[in-house]
Amino acid sequence: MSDRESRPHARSHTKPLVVVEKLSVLFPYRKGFFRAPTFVHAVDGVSFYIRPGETLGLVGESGCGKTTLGRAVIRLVEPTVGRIVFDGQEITGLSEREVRPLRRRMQIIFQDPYSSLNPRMTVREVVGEGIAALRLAKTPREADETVVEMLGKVGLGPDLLDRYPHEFSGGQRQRIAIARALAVRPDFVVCDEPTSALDVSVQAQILNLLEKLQDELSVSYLFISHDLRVVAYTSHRIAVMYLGRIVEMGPAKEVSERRLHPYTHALFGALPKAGHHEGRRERPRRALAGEPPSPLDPPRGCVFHSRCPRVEKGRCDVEAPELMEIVPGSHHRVACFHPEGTDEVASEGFGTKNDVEQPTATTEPFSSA
Amino acid sequence: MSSVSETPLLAVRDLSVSFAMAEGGSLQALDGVSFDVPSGRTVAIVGESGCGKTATALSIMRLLPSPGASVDRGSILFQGDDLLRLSERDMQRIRGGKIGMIFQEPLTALNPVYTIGAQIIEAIRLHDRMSRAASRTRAIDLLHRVGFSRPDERIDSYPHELSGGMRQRVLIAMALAAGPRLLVADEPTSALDTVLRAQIMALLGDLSRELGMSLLVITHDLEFVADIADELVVLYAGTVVESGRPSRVLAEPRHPYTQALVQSVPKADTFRTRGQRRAALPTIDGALPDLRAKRVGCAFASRCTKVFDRCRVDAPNMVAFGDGAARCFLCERTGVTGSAA
Repeated sequence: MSDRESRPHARSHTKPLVVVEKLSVLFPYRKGFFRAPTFVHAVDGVSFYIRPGETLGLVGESGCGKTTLGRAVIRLVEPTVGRIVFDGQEITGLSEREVRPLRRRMQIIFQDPYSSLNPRMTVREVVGEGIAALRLAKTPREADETVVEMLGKVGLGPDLLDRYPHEFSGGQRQRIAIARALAVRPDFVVCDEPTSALDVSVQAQILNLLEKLQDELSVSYLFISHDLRVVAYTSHRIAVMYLGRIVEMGPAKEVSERRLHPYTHALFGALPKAGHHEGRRERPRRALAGEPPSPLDPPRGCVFHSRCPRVEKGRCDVEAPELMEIVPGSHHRVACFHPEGTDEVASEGFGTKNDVEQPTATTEPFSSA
Repeated sequence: MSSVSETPLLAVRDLSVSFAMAEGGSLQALDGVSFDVPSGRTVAIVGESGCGKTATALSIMRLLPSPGASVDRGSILFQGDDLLRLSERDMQRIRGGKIGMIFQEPLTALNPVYTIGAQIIEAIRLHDRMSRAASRTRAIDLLHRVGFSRPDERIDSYPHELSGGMRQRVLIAMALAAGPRLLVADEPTSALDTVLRAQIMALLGDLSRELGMSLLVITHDLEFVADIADELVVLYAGTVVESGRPSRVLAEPRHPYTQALVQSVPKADTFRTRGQRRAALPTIDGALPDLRAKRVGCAFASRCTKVFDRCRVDAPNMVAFGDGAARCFLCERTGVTGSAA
């Protein structure tokens, strides 16, 4: 890239590009018109960092707050408490006007390529909009050249410039959305479930494309998905989110192989294992039963204790564990009093003490994985 | 399968369906699709967008849009009757009666202004003349069966009070209302996260086992469905390209399309290291063939890495081997099209 040198972060590859400290997002909620509003903690005291050229994967179930967190980091949703530092500059206190110059450097790719592209705009307009709005090109011709270059990078030909989004397949639309996000040369892109609406073989193409572009442009990603396999495959580090909090975070390999938090363990347990199926007779899954409790009424203590097989009465339901390293220096943090592999706890199966709905189907014993 | 000798509950034979195009001409959605659903068994139709999964489900339920879609050939035998030849009146009794159906969108398939109880009771009374009180008891029983812990309280909830996973369970309860012999589930998990996918698939598997009900699951989720299915049928561009036991299909896929599909799933066993590039995930290059054009040769030929001259001229037949079948010339010679790796 010719403009690599002009990137402020190119100086250092160890200094984080994005630092998030104790970030909370609260949404007011009224149970009745005349009642005082209560607050939903969509994101509750989350801290993490992302280095230049790095992908941090954020994984969790529907409603855990991962999308809200992703949007709050780039100030699309207003954080209530906490600090966000972008390339050395705190952006939490900035007015919308002061944030504007930073918008070029922080972009987002949405889940649904069918609704994230304006159907009335051609590919040229969609991809070129940011370039025009931020006046990144001196002439229309130069803008067009950038658009064509970006389309080339995402694997689309210049002959498609005047086509409309409806003329493309889901995978091609997601390529257009990626070209749009990267056309303004951002340093940081929030990828919010970018492959969840796509077929498996198309998902593989998009994951490859995002990785290739990251290698070329050294852009950082916050990659959000409910699919642990996708996150583990595509990220350098993983953060596992549950009910607004990060319960485990560390290098993708460490988190995938050690699974310290019982919730992470359960998430991996819910995955199918290709080639290891023995039909319906045997289903030795340690599936996670029930659904997360309502964020309107979160459990006291550890947020996961109501579904946890390793729960310690009188501690986990009273005290909230902090996210911390078990092995100092490992950069692998977990918020749990009884992480997996540390001690023996009665095997009771998932969700037995659960107040949320219980499915009849998933009551497998808590067997070793 | 052990029960091959007896007549299958559902037998789809040589089904071909086309859609008329607005700009003239027609699109061949299904081209000679055949498969069986034996009594009490679970069969999964898997494939990607445009492969004809939904056209298959709609054909069985006789819900293809009319005018627009037409069945060109074939038969759908259910308990000996060809569903394609039944009167609309007879079909109405079967639909939601002996054949239950779950649709794709749990968020939109429920009526927002009625309680879930009212909607389940409606489904019960449509096929079974019983008193309001009796049908309410049955609705509570159904909700319990699909995993509600306090069904007697939840029965009076409105759809918006339930999560996506719970709404999907309500739809399953409605589909079970008339005690169907066959449940057709069209993408029952596509709008759900991975944890819920595993839960709903497991629930469907358990229900089919407990109730002795056959299950036809139509999905793009090859791996999640493999847990509960007795047989996988892989569709590509409107034709069956491979079938067999899930463990065999996933571990040793024989058709090049199935091989590519299985390999394109990211696995949590290769990790990234900062500053190091790595090999890309295998993909399937190219696009589906134009379904409007007349078919020549193998439907997958244009994207196949093992293609040879004959594939572009002749259409291969299904080749049976020990534990399945695949539509590929390479299987004719060896039974295996080379290792999947």
